[in-house]
Amino acid sequence: MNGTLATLRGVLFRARCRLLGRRVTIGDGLRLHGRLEVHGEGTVIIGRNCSIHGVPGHRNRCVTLNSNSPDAIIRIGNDVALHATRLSCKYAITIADRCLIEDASILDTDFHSIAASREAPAHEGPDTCRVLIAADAAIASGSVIAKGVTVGERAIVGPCSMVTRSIPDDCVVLGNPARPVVRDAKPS
Amino acid sequence: MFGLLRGTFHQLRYRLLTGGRVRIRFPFFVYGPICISGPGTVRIGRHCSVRRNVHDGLHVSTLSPDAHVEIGERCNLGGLHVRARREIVLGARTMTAYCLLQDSFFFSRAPSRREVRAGATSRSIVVGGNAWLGLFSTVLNGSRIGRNSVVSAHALCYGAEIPGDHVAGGNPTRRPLPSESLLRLAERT
Repeated sequence: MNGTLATLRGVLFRARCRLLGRRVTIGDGLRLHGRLEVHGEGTVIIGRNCSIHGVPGHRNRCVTLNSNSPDAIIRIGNDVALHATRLSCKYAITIADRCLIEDASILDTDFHSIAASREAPAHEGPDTCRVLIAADAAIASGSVIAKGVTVGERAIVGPCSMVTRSIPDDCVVLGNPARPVVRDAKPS
Repeated sequence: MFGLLRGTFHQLRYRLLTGGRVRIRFPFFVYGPICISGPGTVRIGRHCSVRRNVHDGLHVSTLSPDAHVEIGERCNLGGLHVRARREIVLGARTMTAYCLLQDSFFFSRAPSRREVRAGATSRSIVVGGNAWLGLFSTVLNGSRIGRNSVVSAHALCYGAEIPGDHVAGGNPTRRPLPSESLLRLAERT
């Protein structure tokens, strides 16, 4: 899909959000190279010049921004590129400027308790669960960023990682659980 | 029969649409979705079959004009996702469940300086003959999987050298175990 068509689609999407009175605020320059779906009653704020893509080789994977409560806030900064990313927000998810997020999942809640009743988790709250992806970070395919995680500036999360703890700035992590990648270490 | 018809249709379709960059050899049996995209070259050997595994069939994407994907003959592919920036080779008779083979950390851009400094450059992947890539396994940059080896479900290979006739598990994979020993252990218990 070329740039002009993507820009046009972005403009139309913005207009549609305004018309429908949705709590979605989108900055200038949004480019939709793939589908963008926004579900739920929370607030979504998207910055300027963001680009939305799918995954090469799949027609149905798209960027999905889900809010699971009316107080949820999803904030996406400027110049962010999302490739079939899935966000599921109950409290707050913030993606800062210039991040690249491929088809990863970002969750700020466990959804269910580990107790047999599977009720809503007891000890979650906006302060402990908010997720922040700091500026210039990059998150690769298949990763999961769990609740309460801060991914540091310029950090890199490798493919299929499970990130349950915050990552310092400039760190490269991989694995389940995500651990720093040590250069030239023989894994086996 | 229908699988062969579908396969032949895709064979001709890709031959025509890509001008020979994507070449699939006859016979090709297709029972699931197929999507081959990108500017690089793709070669699929004879007697390969594609089934549906976790809703996906064969999804190959080359990320640069120099990228090359080679799938050997008689492979049994299901839910295979290949994203090649350099080269990804699957030997003959490879069996795959829903798995991802990606030779760089990111498919949307080339490796950055930070990744290069951390050793995460784009490096080719070679999977030996008769290997088995288990469900939700991931094979990343620079991995070499030997003949007859098995990558367990949910395992992640990053720069891993897995010798032939071994089973590798874990995320990331640690010491692969010889298949012989595991088979003997299973017989005893």
